[in-house]
Amino acid sequence: MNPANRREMLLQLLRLGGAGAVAGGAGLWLAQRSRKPEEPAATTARHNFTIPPDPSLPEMAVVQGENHGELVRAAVAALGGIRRFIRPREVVVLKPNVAWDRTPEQGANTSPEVVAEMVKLCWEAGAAKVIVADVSINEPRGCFARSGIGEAARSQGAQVVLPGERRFREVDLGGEVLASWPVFEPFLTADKTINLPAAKHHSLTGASLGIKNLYGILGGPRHRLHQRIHESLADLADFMRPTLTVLDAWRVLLRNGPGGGNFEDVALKKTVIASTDPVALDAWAAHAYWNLDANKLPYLEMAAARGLGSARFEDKRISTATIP
Amino acid sequence: MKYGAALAALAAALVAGCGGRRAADDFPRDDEVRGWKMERQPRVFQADNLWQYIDGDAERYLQAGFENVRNAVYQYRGRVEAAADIYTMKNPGAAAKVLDSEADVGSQPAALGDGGKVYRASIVFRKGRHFVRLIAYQDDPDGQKALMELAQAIAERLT
Repeated sequence: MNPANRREMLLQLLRLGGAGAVAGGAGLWLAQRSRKPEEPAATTARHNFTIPPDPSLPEMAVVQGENHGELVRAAVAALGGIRRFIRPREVVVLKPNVAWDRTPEQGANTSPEVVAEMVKLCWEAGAAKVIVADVSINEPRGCFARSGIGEAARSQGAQVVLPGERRFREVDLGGEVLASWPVFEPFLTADKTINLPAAKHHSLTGASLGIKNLYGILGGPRHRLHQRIHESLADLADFMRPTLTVLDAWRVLLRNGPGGGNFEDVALKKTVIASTDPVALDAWAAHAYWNLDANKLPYLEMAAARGLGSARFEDKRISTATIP
Repeated sequence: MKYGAALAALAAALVAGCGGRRAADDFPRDDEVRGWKMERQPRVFQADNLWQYIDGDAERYLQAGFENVRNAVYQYRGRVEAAADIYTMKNPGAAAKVLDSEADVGSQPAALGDGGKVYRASIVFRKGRHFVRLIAYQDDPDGQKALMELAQAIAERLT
């Protein structure tokens, strides 16, 4: 083929290609114009933020001492350190209990110092963003202010996200009793989730610990969940599997939970418990503070039956320490 | 216009919620009890939205026989903030049931209404079919005495 013919053939191909692209684009445009707008499909994926187990490390760490921050740091270190859980450039959402318009001394929410220390640790691990979020029961702005958690989180550079109406997405939780339910968006978009519950009495379940704290990722009429509370807790634990649970037992609300209010109901335990097994952690704390065995908390056995952890904390590798 | 309608609806709800009596009628006004000022006007919660106020704890009241709760927030001399909840139950027995379910630990009997308990910074009592809870957020040396005066004023207003 001589060069003139080759040039002519290439030009012809380009013309044909251009015409094809124009026709294709027009077809696509027309197809999109004629398509009926669709509702966004409900998210169905489970949110499994867990990391692989490491048999050489403890599965639970119980640390006592005189300083909140030191306890959090030591408990996480005992489990392998924050870099085991958070990778550089990840978006991390922390889920403290900020349910009630109460002061820290009243023991109904997570201690602000625990939240602040966990924010610091996430930055040290190289997190791109640290979000602190909860769907409060009382008015959220008041809860974040009076609990001290809003200020503690912001002072360490975390973003506090309050539950506005537009921040929920309808999600198929795929549970036995929990079907489609509005979920607070930060928990759907993060790379990792760290659960920071407070140790509290609860009038319905006996104790409100890590798994119960996950109610705070949901919007909608949550009171309906109380009708089958144990089944809904097992469903929720199955849907939202945090990377790590760090239970704040600096103060423990022993009675009149979950709202509390009386200083007499609060015991100073100065303890932080961290675990990669949310079921074992709840079982340990229920036993330690309320003398409740797992058979008194059916959601623990339900969650264990689903392979979400073990209610037999005695079988776990537990590290204990006291910081003078 | 929209704002006015919303206010009217709120006012109607407050009145309806208390069987013709305004929610604010049960709460002492500013300085009626020395040093106490109302910081937030009363809100009313009925059986169908009680969970929006005390989710997780609501069942205890509903099972005993609950009608409504009015909540107001007070401040004492700029030092102590306190929440006052007046639960109107279906009958005096229901109010007694709720009071009995309150922990005795750390409490002293309170000579208020038909009986009550006083803690370091909180008070619960019942009068007729009402159950009242006052919670101070700060543990102030004068707080308990001041809270008792506020509780007495509320007890006097309840019929």
